Amino acid sequence: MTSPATGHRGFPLLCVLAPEDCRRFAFEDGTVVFNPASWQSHLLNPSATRIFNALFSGPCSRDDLARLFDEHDAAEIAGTVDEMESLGLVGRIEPSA
Amino acid sequence: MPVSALQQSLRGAGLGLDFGLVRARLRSDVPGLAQKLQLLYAHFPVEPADGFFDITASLQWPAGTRRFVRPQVEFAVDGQLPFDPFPSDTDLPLLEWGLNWCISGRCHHVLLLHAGVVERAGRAILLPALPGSGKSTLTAALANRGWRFLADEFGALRLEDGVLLPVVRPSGLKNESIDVIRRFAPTAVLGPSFPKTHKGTVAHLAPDAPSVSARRQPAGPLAVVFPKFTPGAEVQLSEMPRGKAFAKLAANSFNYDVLGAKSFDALGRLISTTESYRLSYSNLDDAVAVLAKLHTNLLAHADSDNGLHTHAL
Repeated sequence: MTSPATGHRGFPLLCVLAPEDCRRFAFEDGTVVFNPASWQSHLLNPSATRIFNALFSGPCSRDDLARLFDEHDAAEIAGTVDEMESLGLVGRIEPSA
Repeated sequence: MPVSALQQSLRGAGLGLDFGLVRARLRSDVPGLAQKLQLLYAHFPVEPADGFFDITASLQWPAGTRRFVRPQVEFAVDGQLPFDPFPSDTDLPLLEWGLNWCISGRCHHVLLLHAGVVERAGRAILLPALPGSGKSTLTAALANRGWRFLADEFGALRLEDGVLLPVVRPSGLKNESIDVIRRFAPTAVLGPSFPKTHKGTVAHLAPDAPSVSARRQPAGPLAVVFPKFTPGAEVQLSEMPRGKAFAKLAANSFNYDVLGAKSFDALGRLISTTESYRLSYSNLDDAVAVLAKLHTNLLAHADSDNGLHTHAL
């Protein structure tokens, strides 16, 4: 299956939920992000900030992220993405039937 | 106002007081309270009791025998009793805590940070901290070394423009801090000590006349300093990363979660446009000197810098 957003395989795609309502401040030690759905604020460390910013730029798959951050351990990226999903900052775009 | 007139107001239409952020109307039939209020609120003009007040509260005897047997007093606001009664010999602490409770629960037009606030040359230092960190002691010390006192408990950040609004009220000093401030500022006006509260011994420091007079004048924030009293430690000031400062301030707020995106934006602007520090201290003179120097240095740079080190994306 081909991703319409990235033009290659890798569903589900990951994306920042409600990016138009997303508020954030970037600081030297990370980024604080406001989740408009939960009204919770989160402090992302620099590594998580890079992943979040990449997803903010547009949907991409876990494979895309792994390629973007090849210096990172894939397990670390996966763990960060899982945590962002559990916090409701990041969601999935599933392929349509 | 003479004690007799204060007492009459308290027993009648009420005693109106303007703290800056809020106005309160107090009523009480508890003997002796008027003398304590006269001492601690000496510089506050008495407001006509028939106007609008944000808080209408009373300290009163409970119904029944507890006026006579192990007497108690109770705090009421708008006819409700939010707390269990206190022993009558802790009347003033109950009133002050009750008023704080009202402010923290009602003033959602501002972001309320748990912090002391002092100001010089129009720019304020915010001193947020957890209880027991020496916040009130340091705030009181600065207020007795020429800084304007804006608040001991509430850093009230106006959402629209990010200035700090005064909440000028007596400072609650606890345990060793009481004698520390008596020695540090022998002419400071402290009320009676209350040794049997759930926080130990408590005494209240009266705000000075200039701070009371300026209680309607906001101040722009210049720095956020998280103080920590550390016995025996040399004074030490170190920068705190902004993300961490944001998280600590949000956790130290009374109503951050209530205001949602408004509080996030206000706090983000505050952190973006100020410097944040940790201050470890044991000697008040040293801490006051370090903060005076910090304020001078930051103020010198403020004119040539728009203050924005980061930006909202």
